[in-house]
Amino acid sequence: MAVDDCGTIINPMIVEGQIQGGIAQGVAEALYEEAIYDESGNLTTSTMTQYLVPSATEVPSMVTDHSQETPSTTNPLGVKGVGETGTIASPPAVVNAVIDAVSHLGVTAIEKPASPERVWRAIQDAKARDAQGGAA
Amino acid sequence: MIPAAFEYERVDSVESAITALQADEGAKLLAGGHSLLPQMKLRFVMPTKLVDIGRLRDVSYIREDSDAVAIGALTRYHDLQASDALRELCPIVASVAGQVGDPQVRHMGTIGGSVAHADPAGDMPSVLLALGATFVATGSGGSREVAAGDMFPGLFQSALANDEVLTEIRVPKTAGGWSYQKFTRRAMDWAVVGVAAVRMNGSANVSLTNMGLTPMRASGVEEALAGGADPATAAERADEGSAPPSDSFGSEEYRRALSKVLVRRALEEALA
Repeated sequence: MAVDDCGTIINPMIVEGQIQGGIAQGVAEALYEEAIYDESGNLTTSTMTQYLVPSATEVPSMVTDHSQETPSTTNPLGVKGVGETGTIASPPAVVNAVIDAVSHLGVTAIEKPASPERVWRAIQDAKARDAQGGAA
Repeated sequence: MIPAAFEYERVDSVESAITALQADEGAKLLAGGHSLLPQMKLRFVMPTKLVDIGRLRDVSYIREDSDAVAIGALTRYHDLQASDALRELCPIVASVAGQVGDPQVRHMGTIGGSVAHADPAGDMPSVLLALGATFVATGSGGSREVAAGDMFPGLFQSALANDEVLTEIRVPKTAGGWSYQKFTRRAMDWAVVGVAAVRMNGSANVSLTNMGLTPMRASGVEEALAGGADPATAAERADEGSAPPSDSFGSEEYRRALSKVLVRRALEEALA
Protein backbone atom coordinates (compact mmCIF):
# COMPACT_ATOMS: atom_id res chain seq x y z
CA MET A 1 0.00 0.00 0.00
CA ALA A 2 1.31 3.47 -0.87
CA VAL A 3 0.08 6.88 0.23
CA ASP A 4 1.15 9.94 -1.75
CA ASP A 5 0.17 13.56 -1.17
CA CYS A 6 -0.41 14.88 -4.68
CA GLY A 7 -2.72 17.81 -3.96
CA THR A 8 -5.66 18.48 -6.26
CA ILE A 9 -5.83 15.78 -8.92
CA ILE A 10 -6.38 17.14 -12.42
CA ASN A 11 -5.93 13.91 -14.41
CA PRO A 12 -6.48 10.78 -12.28
CA MET A 13 -5.17 8.44 -14.98
CA ILE A 14 -1.80 10.18 -15.11
CA VAL A 15 -1.56 10.25 -11.30
CA GLU A 16 -2.33 6.51 -11.17
CA GLY A 17 0.31 5.81 -13.81
CA GLN A 18 2.97 7.88 -12.05
CA ILE A 19 2.31 6.21 -8.68
CA GLN A 20 2.20 2.66 -10.06
CA GLY A 21 5.19 3.16 -12.35
CA GLY A 22 7.13 4.91 -9.60
CA ILE A 23 6.54 2.08 -7.15
CA ALA A 24 7.62 -0.48 -9.78
CA GLN A 25 10.81 1.52 -10.34
CA GLY A 26 11.43 1.69 -6.59
CA VAL A 27 10.88 -2.06 -6.13
CA ALA A 28 13.34 -2.58 -9.00
CA GLU A 29 15.90 -0.38 -7.25
CA ALA A 30 15.37 -2.29 -4.00
CA LEU A 31 15.58 -5.81 -5.44
CA TYR A 32 16.73 -5.99 -9.07
CA GLU A 33 18.35 -3.19 -11.08
CA GLU A 34 22.09 -2.70 -10.65
CA ALA A 35 25.07 -1.46 -12.67
CA ILE A 36 27.80 -4.03 -12.00
CA TYR A 37 31.37 -3.46 -13.22
CA ASP A 38 34.11 -6.08 -13.44
CA GLU A 39 37.72 -5.55 -12.25
CA SER A 40 38.69 -3.93 -15.58
CA GLY A 41 35.81 -1.48 -15.40
CA ASN A 42 33.56 -3.16 -17.95
CA LEU A 43 29.83 -2.89 -17.33
CA THR A 44 28.66 -6.50 -17.00
CA THR A 45 24.96 -5.63 -16.85
CA SER A 46 24.82 -3.84 -20.19
CA THR A 47 21.88 -5.68 -21.77
CA MET A 48 18.29 -6.32 -20.75
CA THR A 49 19.31 -9.94 -20.06
CA GLN A 50 21.58 -8.90 -17.17
CA TYR A 51 20.12 -5.54 -16.16
CA LEU A 52 17.08 -6.81 -14.34
CA VAL A 53 14.12 -4.62 -15.18
CA PRO A 54 11.19 -6.31 -13.44
CA SER A 55 8.34 -7.68 -15.52
CA ALA A 56 4.66 -7.83 -14.55
CA THR A 57 5.42 -11.08 -12.70
CA GLU A 58 7.89 -9.37 -10.33
CA VAL A 59 5.90 -6.23 -9.52
CA PRO A 60 3.38 -6.68 -6.69
CA SER A 61 -0.27 -5.73 -7.07
CA MET A 62 -0.97 -2.30 -5.60
CA VAL A 63 -3.88 -0.68 -3.83
CA THR A 64 -4.23 3.03 -4.58
CA ASP A 65 -6.79 5.53 -3.36
CA HIS A 66 -7.56 9.05 -4.54
CA SER A 67 -10.44 9.94 -2.24
CA GLN A 68 -8.48 12.31 0.03
CA GLU A 69 -7.13 15.39 -1.75
CA THR A 70 -5.03 17.93 0.21
CA PRO A 71 -4.76 20.96 -2.10
CA SER A 72 -1.59 23.06 -2.11
CA THR A 73 -2.04 26.56 -0.68
CA THR A 74 0.79 28.05 -2.74
CA ASN A 75 -0.74 27.89 -6.24
CA PRO A 76 -4.20 28.67 -7.62
CA LEU A 77 -4.86 25.08 -8.87
CA GLY A 78 -3.91 23.43 -5.55
CA VAL A 79 -1.68 20.95 -7.39
CA LYS A 80 1.50 19.25 -6.13
CA GLY A 81 4.17 17.34 -8.03
CA VAL A 82 3.46 13.64 -8.63
CA GLY A 83 6.21 12.77 -11.12
CA GLU A 84 7.30 9.23 -10.17
CA THR A 85 6.65 9.97 -6.48
CA GLY A 86 6.30 6.23 -5.85
CA THR A 87 10.09 5.89 -6.26
CA ILE A 88 10.77 7.89 -3.08
CA ALA A 89 9.39 5.65 -0.37
CA SER A 90 9.29 2.23 -2.03
CA PRO A 91 13.06 1.36 -1.93
CA PRO A 92 13.47 1.86 1.85
CA ALA A 93 10.10 0.19 2.47
CA VAL A 94 11.06 -2.93 0.51
CA VAL A 95 14.66 -3.16 1.77
CA ASN A 96 13.53 -2.64 5.37
CA ALA A 97 10.96 -5.42 4.89
CA VAL A 98 13.73 -7.74 3.69
CA ILE A 99 15.91 -6.86 6.70
CA ASP A 100 12.94 -7.34 9.02
CA ALA A 101 12.30 -10.79 7.53
CA VAL A 102 15.82 -11.97 8.48
CA SER A 103 16.39 -9.78 11.56
CA HIS A 104 15.81 -12.76 13.88
CA LEU A 105 19.04 -14.18 12.42
CA GLY A 106 20.97 -11.10 13.54
CA VAL A 107 20.92 -9.22 10.20
CA THR A 108 20.79 -5.43 10.67
CA ALA A 109 21.66 -4.07 7.20
CA ILE A 110 21.58 -5.18 3.54
CA GLU A 111 22.76 -3.08 0.61
CA LYS A 112 20.51 -2.29 -2.35
CA PRO A 113 19.54 -4.12 -4.44
CA ALA A 114 18.82 -6.87 -1.93
CA SER A 115 19.69 -9.69 -4.33
CA PRO A 116 19.38 -13.29 -3.14
CA GLU A 117 23.19 -13.47 -2.86
CA ARG A 118 23.38 -10.27 -0.74
CA VAL A 119 20.69 -11.61 1.61
CA TRP A 120 22.52 -14.94 1.83
CA ARG A 121 25.84 -13.18 2.59
CA ALA A 122 24.22 -10.97 5.23
CA ILE A 123 22.88 -14.10 6.95
CA GLN A 124 26.30 -15.84 6.73
CA ASP A 125 28.02 -12.74 8.18
CA ALA A 126 25.49 -12.49 11.01
CA LYS A 127 26.00 -16.18 11.82
CA ALA A 128 29.79 -15.70 11.84
CA ARG A 129 29.48 -12.68 14.16
CA ASP A 130 27.17 -14.70 16.39
CA ALA A 131 29.66 -17.60 16.56
CA GLN A 132 32.49 -15.16 17.40
CA GLY A 133 30.42 -13.46 20.08
CA GLY A 134 29.44 -16.81 21.56
CA ALA A 135 33.08 -17.96 21.75
CA ALA A 136 34.32 -14.76 23.43
CA MET B 1 22.80 -6.20 -32.62
CA ILE B 2 22.91 -6.85 -36.37
CA PRO B 3 23.98 -10.33 -37.50
CA ALA B 4 26.67 -10.90 -40.11
CA ALA B 5 25.40 -11.65 -43.61
CA PHE B 6 24.07 -15.17 -44.16
CA GLU B 7 22.15 -17.16 -46.73
CA TYR B 8 18.77 -18.65 -45.93
CA GLU B 9 17.11 -21.80 -47.18
CA ARG B 10 13.84 -23.30 -46.04
CA VAL B 11 13.77 -27.07 -46.46
CA ASP B 12 10.79 -29.40 -46.67
CA SER B 13 12.32 -32.60 -45.30
CA VAL B 14 15.02 -33.89 -42.94
CA GLU B 15 16.79 -35.38 -45.98
CA SER B 16 17.06 -32.04 -47.76
CA ALA B 17 18.26 -30.44 -44.51
CA ILE B 18 21.11 -32.98 -44.36
CA THR B 19 21.95 -32.31 -48.03
CA ALA B 20 22.02 -28.56 -47.35
CA LEU B 21 24.28 -29.04 -44.32
CA GLN B 22 26.67 -31.19 -46.35
CA ALA B 23 26.83 -28.58 -49.12
CA ASP B 24 28.00 -25.80 -46.75
CA GLU B 25 30.27 -26.45 -43.77
CA GLY B 26 29.36 -23.11 -42.20
CA ALA B 27 25.61 -23.80 -42.33
CA LYS B 28 23.52 -24.13 -39.19
CA LEU B 29 20.01 -25.43 -38.62
CA LEU B 30 17.32 -22.95 -37.65
CA ALA B 31 14.42 -24.37 -35.60
CA GLY B 32 12.68 -21.90 -33.24
CA GLY B 33 15.63 -19.51 -33.40
CA HIS B 34 15.30 -18.31 -29.82
CA SER B 35 18.82 -19.34 -28.85
CA LEU B 36 20.60 -19.07 -32.19
CA LEU B 37 19.35 -15.67 -33.35
CA PRO B 38 20.35 -13.75 -30.18
CA GLN B 39 23.84 -15.26 -30.49
CA MET B 40 24.00 -14.26 -34.16
CA LYS B 41 22.98 -10.70 -33.28
CA LEU B 42 25.91 -10.56 -30.85
CA ARG B 43 28.08 -12.20 -33.54
CA PHE B 44 29.10 -14.96 -31.15
CA VAL B 45 28.16 -17.25 -34.04
CA MET B 46 28.28 -16.32 -37.71
CA PRO B 47 26.83 -19.11 -39.83
CA THR B 48 27.23 -18.70 -43.57
CA LYS B 49 23.79 -20.19 -44.09
CA LEU B 50 20.66 -20.92 -42.08
CA VAL B 51 18.80 -24.07 -43.01
CA ASP B 52 15.27 -23.52 -41.73
CA ILE B 53 13.67 -26.75 -40.48
CA GLY B 54 11.07 -24.96 -38.36
CA ARG B 55 8.15 -25.99 -40.57
CA LEU B 56 8.82 -29.72 -40.69
CA ARG B 57 5.54 -30.71 -39.04
CA ASP B 58 6.33 -34.44 -39.21
CA VAL B 59 9.16 -33.93 -36.68
CA SER B 60 6.73 -32.42 -34.16
CA TYR B 61 4.92 -35.13 -32.17
CA ILE B 62 4.52 -36.82 -28.80
CA ARG B 63 3.95 -40.59 -29.04
CA GLU B 64 3.75 -43.42 -26.55
CA ASP B 65 6.29 -46.07 -27.54
CA SER B 66 6.11 -49.14 -25.21
CA ASP B 67 7.91 -48.10 -21.99
CA ALA B 68 9.08 -44.77 -23.43
CA VAL B 69 7.67 -41.56 -24.85
CA ALA B 70 9.00 -40.47 -28.24
CA ILE B 71 9.13 -36.71 -28.75
CA GLY B 72 9.80 -35.17 -32.17
CA ALA B 73 12.78 -32.82 -31.96
CA LEU B 74 10.81 -29.90 -33.42
CA THR B 75 8.05 -30.08 -30.81
CA ARG B 76 7.66 -26.64 -29.33
CA TYR B 77 7.74 -25.98 -25.58
CA HIS B 78 4.12 -24.87 -25.63
CA ASP B 79 3.01 -28.16 -27.19
CA LEU B 80 5.00 -30.14 -24.59
CA GLN B 81 3.51 -28.08 -21.79
CA ALA B 82 -0.05 -28.54 -23.10
CA SER B 83 0.19 -32.27 -23.90
CA ASP B 84 -2.12 -34.38 -21.72
CA ALA B 85 -0.21 -37.52 -22.77
CA LEU B 86 3.12 -36.07 -21.68
CA ARG B 87 1.70 -34.72 -18.43
CA GLU B 88 0.60 -38.25 -17.62
CA LEU B 89 3.54 -40.27 -18.96
CA CYS B 90 6.53 -38.02 -18.24
CA PRO B 91 5.26 -35.01 -16.31
CA ILE B 92 8.66 -33.46 -15.55
CA VAL B 93 9.21 -32.67 -19.25
CA ALA B 94 5.77 -31.05 -19.60
CA SER B 95 6.22 -29.06 -16.41
CA VAL B 96 9.71 -27.81 -17.17
CA ALA B 97 8.70 -26.89 -20.74
CA GLY B 98 6.24 -24.51 -19.08
CA GLN B 99 9.05 -22.86 -17.11
CA VAL B 100 11.31 -22.02 -20.05
CA GLY B 101 11.55 -18.30 -20.91
CA ASP B 102 8.24 -16.52 -21.45
CA PRO B 103 5.12 -17.36 -23.53
CA GLN B 104 6.62 -15.93 -26.75
CA VAL B 105 9.72 -18.11 -26.34
CA ARG B 106 7.61 -21.18 -25.54
CA HIS B 107 5.55 -20.79 -28.70
CA MET B 108 8.65 -20.74 -30.92
CA GLY B 109 11.43 -22.61 -29.09
CA THR B 110 11.77 -26.38 -29.62
CA ILE B 111 13.00 -29.18 -27.37
CA GLY B 112 15.47 -30.34 -30.03
CA GLY B 113 16.81 -26.82 -30.51
CA SER B 114 17.52 -26.59 -26.80
CA VAL B 115 19.36 -29.93 -26.85
CA ALA B 116 21.42 -29.12 -29.97
CA HIS B 117 22.29 -25.67 -28.57
CA ALA B 118 23.60 -27.40 -25.40
CA ASP B 119 23.51 -24.33 -23.20
CA PRO B 120 24.57 -25.39 -19.68
CA ALA B 121 22.01 -22.89 -18.35
CA GLY B 122 19.20 -24.48 -20.41
CA ASP B 123 16.55 -26.35 -18.43
CA MET B 124 15.76 -29.09 -20.92
CA PRO B 125 19.26 -30.62 -21.35
CA SER B 126 19.57 -31.04 -17.60
CA VAL B 127 16.11 -32.63 -17.25
CA LEU B 128 16.76 -35.02 -20.15
CA LEU B 129 20.09 -35.97 -18.57
CA ALA B 130 18.38 -36.84 -15.28
CA LEU B 131 15.80 -38.91 -17.20
CA GLY B 132 18.52 -40.80 -19.08
CA ALA B 133 16.91 -39.82 -22.39
CA THR B 134 17.99 -41.30 -25.71
CA PHE B 135 18.66 -38.94 -28.63
CA VAL B 136 18.13 -39.96 -32.27
CA ALA B 137 20.53 -38.27 -34.69
CA THR B 138 19.79 -38.63 -38.39
CA GLY B 139 22.51 -38.26 -41.02
CA SER B 140 22.99 -39.24 -44.66
CA GLY B 141 23.81 -42.82 -43.63
CA GLY B 142 20.68 -43.24 -41.51
CA SER B 143 19.92 -42.78 -37.82
CA ARG B 144 21.94 -43.50 -34.71
CA GLU B 145 21.13 -43.28 -31.03
CA VAL B 146 23.11 -41.19 -28.56
CA ALA B 147 22.87 -41.85 -24.82
CA ALA B 148 22.13 -38.93 -22.52
CA GLY B 149 25.55 -39.14 -20.86
CA ASP B 150 27.30 -38.72 -24.24
CA MET B 151 25.14 -35.92 -25.64
CA PHE B 152 26.79 -32.88 -24.04
CA PRO B 153 30.60 -33.12 -24.41
CA GLY B 154 31.39 -29.42 -23.92
CA LEU B 155 30.23 -25.84 -23.65
CA PHE B 156 27.55 -25.19 -26.31
CA GLN B 157 28.60 -28.50 -27.89
CA SER B 158 26.42 -31.50 -28.61
CA ALA B 159 27.41 -34.92 -29.88
CA LEU B 160 25.74 -34.18 -33.23
CA ALA B 161 27.98 -34.17 -36.30
CA ASN B 162 27.93 -31.11 -38.59
CA ASP B 163 25.64 -32.85 -41.07
CA GLU B 164 23.35 -34.58 -38.58
CA VAL B 165 19.84 -33.54 -37.58
CA LEU B 166 18.47 -34.35 -34.14
CA THR B 167 15.11 -35.92 -34.99
CA GLU B 168 13.75 -37.58 -31.87
CA ILE B 169 14.15 -37.62 -28.11
CA ARG B 170 13.02 -40.68 -26.16
CA VAL B 171 12.30 -40.37 -22.47
CA PRO B 172 11.34 -43.21 -20.14
CA LYS B 173 7.83 -43.16 -18.69
CA THR B 174 8.16 -41.90 -15.16
CA ALA B 175 5.45 -43.01 -12.80
CA GLY B 176 7.52 -42.14 -9.73
CA GLY B 177 8.31 -38.84 -8.08
CA TRP B 178 10.19 -36.00 -9.73
CA SER B 179 11.13 -32.40 -9.11
CA TYR B 180 12.69 -29.48 -10.94
CA GLN B 181 13.95 -26.67 -8.75
CA LYS B 182 14.69 -23.61 -10.85
CA PHE B 183 16.09 -20.59 -9.04
CA THR B 184 15.73 -17.37 -11.03
CA ARG B 185 15.89 -13.64 -10.32
CA ARG B 186 12.88 -12.98 -12.60
CA ALA B 187 10.31 -15.45 -13.90
CA MET B 188 11.58 -15.24 -17.50
CA ASP B 189 15.30 -15.60 -16.71
CA TRP B 190 17.64 -18.53 -17.15
CA ALA B 191 18.22 -20.56 -14.00
CA VAL B 192 20.91 -19.16 -11.70
CA VAL B 193 21.04 -22.81 -10.66
CA GLY B 194 18.56 -25.57 -11.50
CA VAL B 195 18.22 -29.10 -10.14
CA ALA B 196 16.31 -31.99 -11.71
CA ALA B 197 15.56 -35.07 -9.62
CA VAL B 198 13.77 -38.15 -10.94
CA ARG B 199 12.92 -41.16 -8.80
CA MET B 200 14.17 -44.34 -10.48
CA ASN B 201 14.78 -47.89 -9.31
CA GLY B 202 14.30 -47.01 -5.66
CA SER B 203 16.88 -44.22 -5.81
CA ALA B 204 17.03 -40.90 -7.69
CA ASN B 205 18.81 -39.48 -10.70
CA VAL B 206 19.92 -35.91 -10.04
CA SER B 207 21.29 -33.38 -12.52
CA LEU B 208 22.41 -29.77 -12.34
CA THR B 209 21.67 -26.76 -14.55
CA ASN B 210 24.21 -23.92 -14.88
CA MET B 211 26.78 -25.47 -12.55
CA GLY B 212 29.57 -25.89 -15.10
CA LEU B 213 30.40 -25.98 -18.80
CA THR B 214 27.81 -28.66 -19.48
CA PRO B 215 24.63 -29.94 -17.86
CA MET B 216 25.85 -32.59 -15.42
CA ARG B 217 24.70 -35.40 -13.15
CA ALA B 218 25.26 -34.76 -9.44
CA SER B 219 27.19 -37.99 -9.05
CA GLY B 220 28.18 -37.32 -5.43
CA VAL B 221 24.54 -36.98 -4.46
CA GLU B 222 23.52 -40.10 -6.38
CA GLU B 223 26.32 -42.07 -4.74
CA ALA B 224 25.27 -40.89 -1.27
CA LEU B 225 21.64 -41.84 -1.94
CA ALA B 226 22.66 -45.28 -3.19
CA GLY B 227 24.57 -45.68 0.09
CA GLY B 228 21.40 -45.00 2.04
CA ALA B 229 21.92 -41.31 2.91
CA ASP B 230 18.86 -39.16 3.62
CA PRO B 231 18.11 -36.22 1.26
CA ALA B 232 19.64 -33.55 3.53
CA THR B 233 22.90 -35.49 3.94
CA ALA B 234 23.11 -36.41 0.24
CA ALA B 235 22.45 -32.79 -0.77
CA GLU B 236 25.66 -31.67 0.96
CA ARG B 237 27.53 -33.30 -1.93
CA ALA B 238 25.57 -31.35 -4.60
CA ASP B 239 28.49 -29.36 -5.99
CA GLU B 240 31.03 -32.20 -6.12
CA GLY B 241 32.77 -32.17 -9.49
CA SER B 242 31.00 -29.00 -10.62
CA ALA B 243 32.64 -25.79 -11.85
CA PRO B 244 29.97 -23.11 -11.47
CA PRO B 245 30.40 -19.76 -13.25
CA SER B 246 30.62 -16.38 -11.49
CA ASP B 247 28.54 -13.66 -13.13
CA SER B 248 26.15 -10.83 -12.34
CA PHE B 249 23.51 -13.37 -11.30
CA GLY B 250 25.67 -14.97 -8.62
CA SER B 251 29.21 -15.86 -7.59
CA GLU B 252 30.65 -19.36 -7.77
CA GLU B 253 30.51 -19.57 -3.97
CA TYR B 254 26.82 -18.59 -3.92
CA ARG B 255 25.95 -21.08 -6.67
CA ARG B 256 27.66 -23.89 -4.71
CA ALA B 257 25.63 -23.05 -1.60
CA LEU B 258 22.46 -22.68 -3.66
CA SER B 259 22.93 -26.06 -5.36
CA LYS B 260 22.91 -27.79 -1.98
CA VAL B 261 19.66 -26.15 -0.94
CA LEU B 262 18.00 -26.87 -4.30
CA VAL B 263 19.17 -30.51 -4.36
CA ARG B 264 17.72 -31.02 -0.88
CA ARG B 265 14.39 -29.49 -1.94
CA ALA B 266 14.35 -31.52 -5.16
CA LEU B 267 15.04 -34.79 -3.33
CA GLU B 268 12.46 -34.05 -0.66
CA GLU B 269 9.85 -33.48 -3.36
CA ALA B 270 10.87 -36.35 -5.67
CA LEU B 271 11.26 -38.95 -2.92
CA ALA B 272 8.26 -37.89 -0.81
